[in-house]
Amino acid sequence: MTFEPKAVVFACNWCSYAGADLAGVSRMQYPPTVRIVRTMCSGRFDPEFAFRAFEKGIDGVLVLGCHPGDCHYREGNLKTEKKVEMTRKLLEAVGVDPRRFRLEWVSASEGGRFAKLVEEFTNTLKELGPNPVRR
Amino acid sequence: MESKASILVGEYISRCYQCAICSGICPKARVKPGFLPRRMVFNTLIGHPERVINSGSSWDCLTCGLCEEKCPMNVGIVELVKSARQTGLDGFCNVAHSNTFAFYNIMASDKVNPKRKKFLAKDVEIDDNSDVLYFMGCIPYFDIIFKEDVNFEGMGIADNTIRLLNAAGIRPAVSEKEKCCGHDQLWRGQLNFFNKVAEQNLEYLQNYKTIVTSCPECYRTLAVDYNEKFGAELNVKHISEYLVEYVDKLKPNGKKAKVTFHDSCRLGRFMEVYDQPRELLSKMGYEIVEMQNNRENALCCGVPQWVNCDDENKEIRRKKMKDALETGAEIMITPCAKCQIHLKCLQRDKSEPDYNIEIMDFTTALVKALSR
Repeated sequence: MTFEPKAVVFACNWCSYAGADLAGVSRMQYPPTVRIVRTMCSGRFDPEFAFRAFEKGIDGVLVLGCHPGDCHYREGNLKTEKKVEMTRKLLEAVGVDPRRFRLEWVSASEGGRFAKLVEEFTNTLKELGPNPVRR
Repeated sequence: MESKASILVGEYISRCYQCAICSGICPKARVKPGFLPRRMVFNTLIGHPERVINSGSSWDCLTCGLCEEKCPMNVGIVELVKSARQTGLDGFCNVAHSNTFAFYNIMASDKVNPKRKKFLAKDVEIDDNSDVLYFMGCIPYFDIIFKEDVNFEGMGIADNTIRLLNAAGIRPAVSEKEKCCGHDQLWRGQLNFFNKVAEQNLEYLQNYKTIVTSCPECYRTLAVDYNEKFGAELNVKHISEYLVEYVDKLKPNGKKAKVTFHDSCRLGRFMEVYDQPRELLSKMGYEIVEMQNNRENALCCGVPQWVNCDDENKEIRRKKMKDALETGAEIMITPCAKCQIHLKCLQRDKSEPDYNIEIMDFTTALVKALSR
């Protein structure tokens, strides 16, 4: 059986979730890898979300937020950027490949970009193979 | 009603005659009036260990060991607290930064190997075939989390430890398989994690003749807990203990400063290493002035195992800083990376008065005075 990666996406309510929605209503095709979790702001992302997910054996984590300057809450996504940077370094330090963890900006009108991102991410995960932590 | 909970207690607990010297000396009891170590021992003795577990008083304890030091009957109070935590709610406690520290759980898997060598500075010399291993501990992780925010020295501690070993003519090995020693999880009652990392660590640790640590907590865990629990025979030494034998090879560069030394609980009271760091510091030209509470009476930094970082424990940290300021020293030297983080965190707090003293790691202080 071929390896089908599983990834979790944390998408912000105002831009990226709407972007994902647009990809859906426009009937764009993208691989069924991702499970989307809606957060009110990408600033809600907490390092623990990623650590817990990897601990339980997820293959990748994608954090999506509004473009810098477009945040509904003014600076939530800038805080995300800082947290994500730290999370990535920690993941690398404990031995998880940092390519499994990404932060991207997707606005509400970028349905195509969302579909493209998911496809790209899925390909990266397929290359990397299953998460070694998975039992 | 028969109580289901039971606490494994040290052999001397029944000797307790309730003199309450433990409650009198306890730094936590001074800031939290309801917390009494004596009461914990009493409840266990009269057959109600569940009161200790359910009341949560075992989580209030700092496990600094000051009570055991003063106890006339050698009652193992810290050991009692530790087993109460392990029998109670599994890993339930108020851990500071617990969201960020969730990454430790990934380490429990034997499929991932943390890479440590890449964090080291370029000028340090390591040798994979050496029979001396430097056990780095959590310094790379703390470097990532705390370096910017609290001005923590970070990987500088690990680099300086290796620089000191190099100066003594030793090129230590650094293992890529190294995991967390599990100290915090052991003391928080998360035995599951501790056993997993300990087994993985022991696989390679036994290949080395000597293991040198710069962290007092790693030192205590490897030297006592690993050896007791798993029957390993590791020869573990703290960097100060190890360097004392090579003291002649370290040449001071004539730097002078007035310093005070903070005895962290794991290094001082638990492992009884008091003289070696002081001997090294004075050999390198530092003038040591002692705090009012020093050596076995030293005050805890306030947040061991990241448990209970709250207002009450902040008061303990304030007291510690006041002690250090009263000595008139320019630098407070601490051997423990965590003590440094907690105390520097208080220093940068804007609502606090200005604590005008530099906090420096023990190894950094030695390297700064080293002529190279």
